[in-house]
Formats: sequence, structure tokens, C-alpha cells
Amino acid sequence: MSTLEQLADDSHRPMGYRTIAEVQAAAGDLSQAMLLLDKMDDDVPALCDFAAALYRAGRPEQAKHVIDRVVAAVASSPDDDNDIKSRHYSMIALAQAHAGKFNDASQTMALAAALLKYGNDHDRALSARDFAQAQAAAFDDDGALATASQITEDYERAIAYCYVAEEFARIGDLTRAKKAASQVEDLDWRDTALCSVAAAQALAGDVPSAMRTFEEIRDSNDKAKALCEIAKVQGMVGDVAGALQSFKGAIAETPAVENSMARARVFSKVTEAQTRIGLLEEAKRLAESVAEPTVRALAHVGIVRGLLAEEE
Amino acid sequence: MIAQTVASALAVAKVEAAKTINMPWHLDVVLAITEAYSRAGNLQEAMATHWNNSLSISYKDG
Repeated sequence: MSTLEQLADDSHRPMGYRTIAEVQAAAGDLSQAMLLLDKMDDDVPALCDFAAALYRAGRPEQAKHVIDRVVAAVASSPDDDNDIKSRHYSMIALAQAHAGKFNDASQTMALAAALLKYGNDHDRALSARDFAQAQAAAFDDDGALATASQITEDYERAIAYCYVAEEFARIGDLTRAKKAASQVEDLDWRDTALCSVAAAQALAGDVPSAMRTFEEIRDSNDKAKALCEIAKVQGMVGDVAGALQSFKGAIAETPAVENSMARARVFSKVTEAQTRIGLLEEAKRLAESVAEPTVRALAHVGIVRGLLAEEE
Repeated sequence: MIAQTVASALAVAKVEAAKTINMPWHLDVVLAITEAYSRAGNLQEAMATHWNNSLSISYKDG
């Protein structure tokens, strides 16, 4: 904490506080975590993440306390920031919907909807994009697609369809997810959406559909991520040969992945999945074979995650 | 047995993470280690790991 207070760059503080608060919440140390609230007051995304962490930790009352506080903070912000307020309400509604608090989400979305008309064209596109995502998370499928379709800026409309596709995938509406992904006009964002759809299809046990979706992805990083998810499911259902083939395919994509952290995340997913399906020695060999420090470190973290998942 | 395996794997990961100090993405690596210690139920180590110094010490020790 004292180190955080000394940080010269203020922008690093909310992330640090959020990490500490989430770690404390996950460990059940709520009194300390809640003390950090004052330090995160004006950071709506950080507070929404913190509330989501509390919901995940099985602390709905504390999560609601955080949400109430952030709603009050947004409500009291200046009216000339109405477009920002709308986006913040949508973020809050998204956290509520993800926690299954659909009535609360609906009320918050009404606040967001009333402010969608404010700002310039770009501001309104951003507000509508975030609102569409919250609608999809709250099971308002038609509303989400309608909101996305009305966004006049091509790039923001593409992101909106991607977010909507990801939310449909998350709630298991895979047909609509695939359809929304196909409406993403920007190819990079379409890859992102297709990656989420392939992962959800694999998770639902439909590996053939997941492989078909994978074939539509162009970007190496998204291809590798999708293959990791497919491999995990193949391993879990006993198709070890298929899993090994998919792992090999994921690793083969990494030289084309543009930065070391993205490569590291792929290796981490591979070693985690290998460990989870009982291929611990294979995972260790892979991690040890990597020369790039960041990638090697995350590959070892993947092993830890795999062991912890096995324990859970 | 599994707890011991997790602890060993975490120790290896921490030493490897320490080697990324002063490299791009080091903070992301630290956050990954913090989260791993947290999920393993070792909050004290999670908090200690959050600060870069603890990683550099473990690297020297390692």
C-alpha cells in the first residue's frame, strides 16, 4: 500500500488498488478490501471489476454496496458528461447482468438509455456500443442487435457486434453468437468474435462446429486461443491425440503473434490445458523449451493454473 | 500432495517471472503471479509478489 501511495504516475494506482482489493476479496479479507473503496471512487471500470470480484467471491451484499456507491457517484457527476454517464451506467449494468442480477441491470440500463442521445456522433456511437453489450448480457437479444445495427460509425458498429457476439457466446446462445459475429465488418474484430464463439462451441461439447468456426479465423493469436480451448475440451472428453494435435497447431501459430505477452498468453493457455488433462510432464517440457523470458514465465504460470483447476 | 506440487510450480514460476524485470510486460507477469498465489490461497505471498522487489529478491535467491 505505501508503495502504491508513492507511485509518481497516478494512472497506475487504480489498477494496483483493484488488484489488491480483488485479491483481498477473493481471500475473504473484506474489511481491508472495502477500505480501498475510497481510493477507487472515481474509477468506474475499476469499481465495476471489484463488484464483479465480490459477486464471484460469493459476497452479493458487499457487491451491491459497491454498485450502489458507484451508481451514486455516476449520478452526481456533471450533466455535461452525460455521454460518459451513459457508458458508465452500461458498464454497471453489465456487471450486474454478469452476476445474474437482471432486475438491477434493467433499472441501471434505463438510466443509461435515457442518456444515449447526448454527445457528438462519436460519443453516441460509444454509448450505444456499450449499451448493446449490456443488453446482450441481460438476455435482451433483439434489443442488443437493434442497438448495434443503428450505430452509424462503421468501426464502433463492428466492435458492438463483436461485444454482442461475445455476450451471446457467454450465455450459451451459440446460433445468435455466430450470426452476430458474421455481422462484424472489421476483420480483426470479427476474428475476436469468432474466437469467442469457437471457444463457447468447444465448451458446449460441439468440437466439430468449433473447428469450423476456427477455420474462419485469420489472425494467428485468435487462431491459437481458439485451438487451446478446443484442445482443452478434446482432452477432457478423452481425445488426447486430438488435443495434442490442437496444442501443436496453437504453438505453430505463435511465431506470427506480434508481441511477447500475446505469445506468452498462448503458451500459458497451452500449459494450463495440458496440465488440466493430465499432461503435466508435457507441459513442463514445453515451458522449459521456451527461451523468451516473458513467455517462459507465463508458461510456468499456466502449469500452476492447471494444477489449481485440477484441485478445484 | 497436490498442494506441494502447486507450491513447487509456483516457486518455479516466480523465479522465471523475476527474470522479466525491466522487460516490457513485466507488470502483466507480476499480476499473473499475484493472481496465482491468490488462487492458491496464499494471500501473504500474493501481496508480497505484487511489489517488484520481492521478485528480484527471489531471483537472486533462486
